[in-house]
Amino acid sequence: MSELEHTDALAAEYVLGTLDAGERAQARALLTVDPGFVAKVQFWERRLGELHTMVEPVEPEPGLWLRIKARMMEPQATPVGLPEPQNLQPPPAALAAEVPPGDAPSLEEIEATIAEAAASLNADAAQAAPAEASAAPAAEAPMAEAPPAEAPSLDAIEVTISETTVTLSADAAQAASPDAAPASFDGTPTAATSAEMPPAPPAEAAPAPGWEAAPAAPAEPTPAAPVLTVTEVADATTAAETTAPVEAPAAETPPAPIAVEPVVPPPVLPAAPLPEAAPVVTAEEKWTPAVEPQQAMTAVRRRLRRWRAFALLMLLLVLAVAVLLVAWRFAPERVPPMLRPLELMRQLGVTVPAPAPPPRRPLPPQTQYDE
Amino acid sequence: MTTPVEITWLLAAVAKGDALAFERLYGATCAKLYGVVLRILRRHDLAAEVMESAYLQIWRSAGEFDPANSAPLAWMVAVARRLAIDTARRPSPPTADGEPEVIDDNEGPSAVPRHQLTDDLKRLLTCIGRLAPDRQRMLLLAYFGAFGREQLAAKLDMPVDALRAALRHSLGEVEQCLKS
Repeated sequence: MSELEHTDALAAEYVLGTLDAGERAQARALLTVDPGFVAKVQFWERRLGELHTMVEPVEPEPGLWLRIKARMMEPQATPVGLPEPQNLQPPPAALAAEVPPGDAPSLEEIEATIAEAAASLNADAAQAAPAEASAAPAAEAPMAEAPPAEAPSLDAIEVTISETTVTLSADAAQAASPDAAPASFDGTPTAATSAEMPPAPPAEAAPAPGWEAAPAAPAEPTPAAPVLTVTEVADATTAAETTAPVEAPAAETPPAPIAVEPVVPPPVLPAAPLPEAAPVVTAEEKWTPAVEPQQAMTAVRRRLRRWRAFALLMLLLVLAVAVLLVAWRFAPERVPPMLRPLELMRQLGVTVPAPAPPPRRPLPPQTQYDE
Repeated sequence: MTTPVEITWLLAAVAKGDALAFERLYGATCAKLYGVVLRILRRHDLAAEVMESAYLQIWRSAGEFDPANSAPLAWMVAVARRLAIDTARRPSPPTADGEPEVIDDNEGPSAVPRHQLTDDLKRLLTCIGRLAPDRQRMLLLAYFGAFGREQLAAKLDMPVDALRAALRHSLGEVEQCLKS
């Protein structure tokens, strides 16, 4: 069974980012007390974290580093996280009101990459999928065709997508989807079991499928967790239309003006507003940013540092001896008198039985071939 | 481009309180993290605020990073994403000057050159690729935009309940695939 249990789903959705404020607070609480939950979150953060490769880097404003630097030496008592609201309010208007116009093309490209990966790396899995597919033939149609509402209004951007990418995505999607699509819905009947997750207020009617007013929509406070029944799922899914996923246009995204608006970085505020309670830090405190949980760690580190210093010392000693040996061997006349072998031996109290051999005369140039 | 090994090394130095290493770490990773955060918040002021918190948290908890457990950049991204999503779920984020600077990030996620595909990423993409195309899109939209369920449901034009069930089912499939 591939359906996730309650806490599994909570951990996965916590990392994915689809929880609302209340559920996130619940997840954070679990993170502090439940090691198993921590492990689940780490699993997903590690796995999904790989997706960052696909995010285009954006240079932040230069002043940001100065602000961070200014706050680096604050004592750790200052809460690092942001204030966390516990109430379930609608997302900020700015978030709700606009849809990133960049989504569609980039997602297509990602899908292309995915399809490519799936197609090329996973031929064996493709073989296995059709078998599953026959198990749930009735369920295959519905959900798979929900039109991606954010695709359109991107004409300008779409022009810039290279045709190769598009065709690649089309081809690859074709190659990858036939096996994936049918198998995707076989878990539906189990949805009800895991759907009672959050401590939710009584269920509110799900928004109508034809919910077009996207900008305004998130503003209505929707309770987080309506209890889901199998029939509801079935209804909802059969209500979806059968349109091609990628190219279906819808009137959701805001029009072009936003898309061409230049991105203006905010003014640079070097060393700007320190947080309220930022007491002066003494020099001693500076280099011990970690406090109680890491005391053991710091002790270990101190010991490590001592050993490292010792090792370094030994290394230097060995190097010095090596240099001396090399000097004796290749340039004995340039070694300072007190470091010559005989002199050293005398200093160390070793009596040289035989009279000292005649001082080695400087080698004529030819002698290097004599040896 | 700083390699993961270098970032791991920098993180280890940061864990010891090496401020210089931290500056180098910032220089090597800030654009990536800012890209991630900006994509979620879509406002420079909020994104900068989150970046500040994220890097301070990295500065203080770099010792918690375990190279055996995760890739260094993925760990840093996870720290930043947590804070960014928490901020996105705040009721009404204060704006610096009352004028929200809304960004449209045309530079969103993009296809990765083949040589940059790590084994882990290949595996993940393979697993996501086994989902139906609309579910792939749903999962990726959810991850990159970190939309709440309601927002995501509105974007995908489907009921919230169905979305939740689909998400969970998809995540379950991906997990099973990753663990197999």
